[in-house]
Amino acid sequence: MDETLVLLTLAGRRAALPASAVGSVIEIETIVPVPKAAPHIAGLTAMRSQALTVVDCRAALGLGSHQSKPGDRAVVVTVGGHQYALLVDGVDDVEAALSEPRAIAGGFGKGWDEAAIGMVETSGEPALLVDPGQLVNAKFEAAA
Amino acid sequence: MDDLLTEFLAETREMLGSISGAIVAWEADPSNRELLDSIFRFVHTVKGNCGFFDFPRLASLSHAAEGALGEVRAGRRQADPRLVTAVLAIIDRIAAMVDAIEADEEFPEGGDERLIVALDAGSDAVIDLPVKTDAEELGDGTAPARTSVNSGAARSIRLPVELLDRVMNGVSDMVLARNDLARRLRATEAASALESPFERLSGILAEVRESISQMRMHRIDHLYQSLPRLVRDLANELGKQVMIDFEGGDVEIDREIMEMIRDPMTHLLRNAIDHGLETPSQRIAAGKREIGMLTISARHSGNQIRVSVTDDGRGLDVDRIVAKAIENGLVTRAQADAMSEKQKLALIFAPGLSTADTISEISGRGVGMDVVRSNLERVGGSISVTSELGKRTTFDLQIPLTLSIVAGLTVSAGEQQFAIPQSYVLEIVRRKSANLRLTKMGDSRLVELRGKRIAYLSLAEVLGLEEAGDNDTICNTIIMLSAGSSEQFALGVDAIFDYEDLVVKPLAPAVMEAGFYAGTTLLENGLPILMLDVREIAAKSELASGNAALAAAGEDAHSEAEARRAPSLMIYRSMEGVKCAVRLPVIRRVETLKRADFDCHGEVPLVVLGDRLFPCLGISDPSKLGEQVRALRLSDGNSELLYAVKELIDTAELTSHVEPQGDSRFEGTVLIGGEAVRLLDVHGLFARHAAKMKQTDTDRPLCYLPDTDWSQTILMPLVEAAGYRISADPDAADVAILTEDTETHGAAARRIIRLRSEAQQGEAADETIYRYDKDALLAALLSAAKGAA
Repeated sequence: MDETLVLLTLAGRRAALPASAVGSVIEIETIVPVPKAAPHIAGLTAMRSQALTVVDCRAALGLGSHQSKPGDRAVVVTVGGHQYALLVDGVDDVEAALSEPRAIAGGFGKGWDEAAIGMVETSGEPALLVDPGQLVNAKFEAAA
Repeated sequence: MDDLLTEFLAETREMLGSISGAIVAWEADPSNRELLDSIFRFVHTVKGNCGFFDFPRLASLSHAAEGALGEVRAGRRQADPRLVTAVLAIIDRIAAMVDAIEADEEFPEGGDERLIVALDAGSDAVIDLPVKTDAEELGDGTAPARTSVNSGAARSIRLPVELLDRVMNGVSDMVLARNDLARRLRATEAASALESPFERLSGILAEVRESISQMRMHRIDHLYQSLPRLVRDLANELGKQVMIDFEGGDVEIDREIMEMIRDPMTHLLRNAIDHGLETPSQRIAAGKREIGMLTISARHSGNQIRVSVTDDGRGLDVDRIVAKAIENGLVTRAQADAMSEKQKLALIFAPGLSTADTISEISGRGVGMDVVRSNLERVGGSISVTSELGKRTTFDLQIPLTLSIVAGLTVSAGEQQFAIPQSYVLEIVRRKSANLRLTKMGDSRLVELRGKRIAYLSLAEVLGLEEAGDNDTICNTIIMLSAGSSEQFALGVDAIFDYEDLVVKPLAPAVMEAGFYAGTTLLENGLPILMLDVREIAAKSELASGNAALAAAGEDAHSEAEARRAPSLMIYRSMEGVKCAVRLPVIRRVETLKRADFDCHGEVPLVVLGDRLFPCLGISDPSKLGEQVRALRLSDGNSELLYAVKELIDTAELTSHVEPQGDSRFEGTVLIGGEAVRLLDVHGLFARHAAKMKQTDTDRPLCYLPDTDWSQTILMPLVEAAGYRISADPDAADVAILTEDTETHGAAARRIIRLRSEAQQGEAADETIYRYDKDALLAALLSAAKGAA
């Protein structure tokens, strides 16, 4: 597998997104909350005069909620024609994947299983490759 | 040219283009089935389309070719080179004829039979004319026709709608990007140097946006075209005679919206023919013409399109509608008794009335009218009905012009801003208004305004931004919203900011799921803002399309007569600090103006608002204007003007009579809450000032510009925005703008403005204006305009 990965810290864990899915990495200045929206929708933010939907990945995984502060890093992805900013703990590096994603015995645990594509080897420690579509729509589909 | 014909020509041309490759390939390989099929499809389609038009020659040519190719397809005949040649000659002839039709020229007579005979299997007629010479032989007729098509007639191309949408989205994004840029420019020091190019960019962008919007526009004719057939079929089926008449087919409408109103329109027509119009014998018995008339008309009305569907049938029987509504438990007898005629008729849009037997019992409109209404309301439209028993029924549809740019009101609730589409806003009331009373009914709150009782919601509470605790209070500002054709509710917000044109973007599904929002847009400060879905908010609180709404409607009817008797007034403090009043209906909105937008050189100060100039009255001493000026935008239906006020106090009802007084600026004095208040004479105001400003195109002053690139591209928009028309003739112009490098032949113009290209003025006596000194230039233009008018 010669896919490039964006390595992240997600809910305190080492995770990765396929670089092909990532448009850019931004620093979030202001989040305009969306009252009554699903818990993982942190709100809207503006990037280069476009509105993005900010997704709290921690909440999307069902692992509490992100304590957001100005300057937070977010990864911009496009899912279903809409742009989302995924709030993460940190964006660490861009690296080539050294293996195909694969499942591990016993699964990745509550919350993670839904979003996970599988474990991939990188030059350092392995990372959990996640599906941005699942993060964006996780709660949404569960609720529907 | 007829739109349908244009489409036929475009389609034929397009197909010709796409099969031209197939023709060549077929010639090389006549046995290829796929190529044969595609050529067969072409002649078949041409033949089919010709049926709609009177093109006998096209029809017979394509028919003959279709027949011959059909034989080959059926295996009864081999595609020999002679047949191929004959078919190709026919296709060429079709192409030449299409060119001639498009150029609106006669195609030379004759020659068709020879081509057709050549198709016959046994024929030994030889087509000795290869493609090119064929066209040449037709000679003088065709060749010039081709050129004139290229240069003369408006050419059109067909584009996929998605592409248009992409371009449209791109332009919307550019507008947002420009707003962002504007915000950043204001924060930097380089602003003044960048101002002119930025203004230019803005101007161009506005133009592009305009053109793109037009690209999405379609004449409503396209919708009309499909209707006569439907009407004919239905009329035959039901044994009725119906004539349909269309008006306003040239009205243009966003194609997306057109698709969305297609079903409701069809439904209305179906109902009109089925239930509205009588059978011929019934009509004769009623003393009407045997043939029923259906009239569909469309026209622009402000930011909306109004389409009305009228039949001259038996009309709606109000009593039976009401009886049915009571029977179905939609309203109680008491509620019905309190309703106005209009509200009773509007019951046909209620969801519960659509039972099968109402179709025949009432004059019908029950079935699916609620669906028609909700379809229209989904695109921000509305529908209403009027009827005269035994004479006619008219449905009035109001449809927005486009979906993507919405006039919106920005408000705040719970420290957050939201936008509300302006089309829903009926009125804005302050809590402290003497007209407004709060009534508690259990846990619900009602506000009473001028005798109407309306359900009240607090936006902050609806959105969970504030605890829905104590219901003794209501928010500072209350917006009266229409949640549907005749349903209203009051929404409390903390503050109101502005009216703006908002470029609305769709929201991500996860956000839409919340159910309170219709879209998002970016404000000028660069922050996203959510656009509220007013209907959903009403529906979620069970305020619309339910019993609550109908009950409220009853209340409203009860006091409607009363409300009509007492005209509403807006109480304000004038710039001199005097408490005055103005009749509420003439106020279109309240504007907040910047000191910089005023031009006070003339007798009446002028204000630039959007791209228009308005006279601003009510100012006695322009030098005392503050940085921001509040002004009422008054409208008499035709023209608008501004009236500056120090502050707005409240709305009130005019209960006393008007005591005339000496001052001609006022109608007289009225009593409001025991206090004497002067009532502004709006009629006199418009009589004095509207005539001057209501400039049709011809009475705008003429301005001559030098014929240089700079003048035409940079100066012209500015001059036009200042209310001038551009003239090419310096001697006829009211004002001539001259630059240093142009001759002085504009001297005959009544006024001359000279521009210089150096920022620094050379000599003191030199009365020129630096050509990028916009303020000075505008001031000169404005004062010249006054001289010219």
